[in-house]
Amino acid sequence: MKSVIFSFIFLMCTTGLSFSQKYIDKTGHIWFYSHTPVEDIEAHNRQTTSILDTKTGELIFQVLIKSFEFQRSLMEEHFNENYMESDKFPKASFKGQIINIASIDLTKNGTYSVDVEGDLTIHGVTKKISTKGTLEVKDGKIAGKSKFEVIPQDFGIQIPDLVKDKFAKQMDVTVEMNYELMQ
Amino acid sequence: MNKLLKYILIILVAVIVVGLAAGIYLYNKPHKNIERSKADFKMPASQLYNEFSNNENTANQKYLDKTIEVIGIVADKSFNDKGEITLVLRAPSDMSGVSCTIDPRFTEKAKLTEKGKQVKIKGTCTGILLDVVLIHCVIEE
Repeated sequence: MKSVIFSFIFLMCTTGLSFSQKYIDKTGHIWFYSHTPVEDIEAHNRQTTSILDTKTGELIFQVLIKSFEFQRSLMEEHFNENYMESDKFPKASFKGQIINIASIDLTKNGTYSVDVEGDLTIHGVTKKISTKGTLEVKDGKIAGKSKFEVIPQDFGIQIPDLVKDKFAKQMDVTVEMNYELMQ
Repeated sequence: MNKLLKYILIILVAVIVVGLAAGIYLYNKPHKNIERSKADFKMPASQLYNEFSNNENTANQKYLDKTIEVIGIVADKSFNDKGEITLVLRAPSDMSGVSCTIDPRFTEKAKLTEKGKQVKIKGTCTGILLDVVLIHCVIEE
């Protein structure tokens, strides 16, 4: 009898473990867009790495600054050398939480609205942000989308007066991920 | 006197033209052509990964923005939302390695590569996340 109980507990523990579901995407897409009458600036990063824990709602993103691709190589150079100082700060990251995770069931197909809160680190400066997004669950895969604004000045990114007209005050950042269950 | 003025004018115009041309050239400067640029480093994918995982700062200083040629076994092949192929070269396990986003001109060639095959890839190093990342990659063989 004792051994039956023991194996039952053991089974509970192991299935409990397998319920801790982590999803990953290593080729996610983040891009930002700035519009002014003088110039439109747009850059894409398709090597965004993110891990989503569907049980706890924990959410982590990491991008390499040098992986952002611009249409013009001169812009890319200025972005890396003058503004982001990517040799000094090669990564940007987000570490946070889906705060309404308890009210949604990500094991079922469907589209869910999520509220996300956490720490965004860019250019070595960390700030709390909150944003909304959607998670679309379809046959074991999860597509995540979100849009938010980033003000470069908040992160200690100085834009000289001479070129100020070319940059919008806020950058529109869009995130599109396609998560798969972590093996 | 008139002659002098003429010379000054000609020089001035020449300076402006050269300046404008240089400006336009810089503004439209093409992206680095990986295919034609010589590799700064050549090594097995596992060595590159190990150097980054042992000391990220040192590896960043050594490899960021550099053209690197790596040899390794394909552990994973995936498409991103633009239809570009990313090949992950295993080093040391299937979980982590060197992630190479293939330049669209080499998509057809990348489609032919299969998991378990050895490939030689050249690309620009942008750092390490879970994998070491190379972008604008071309497949050498």
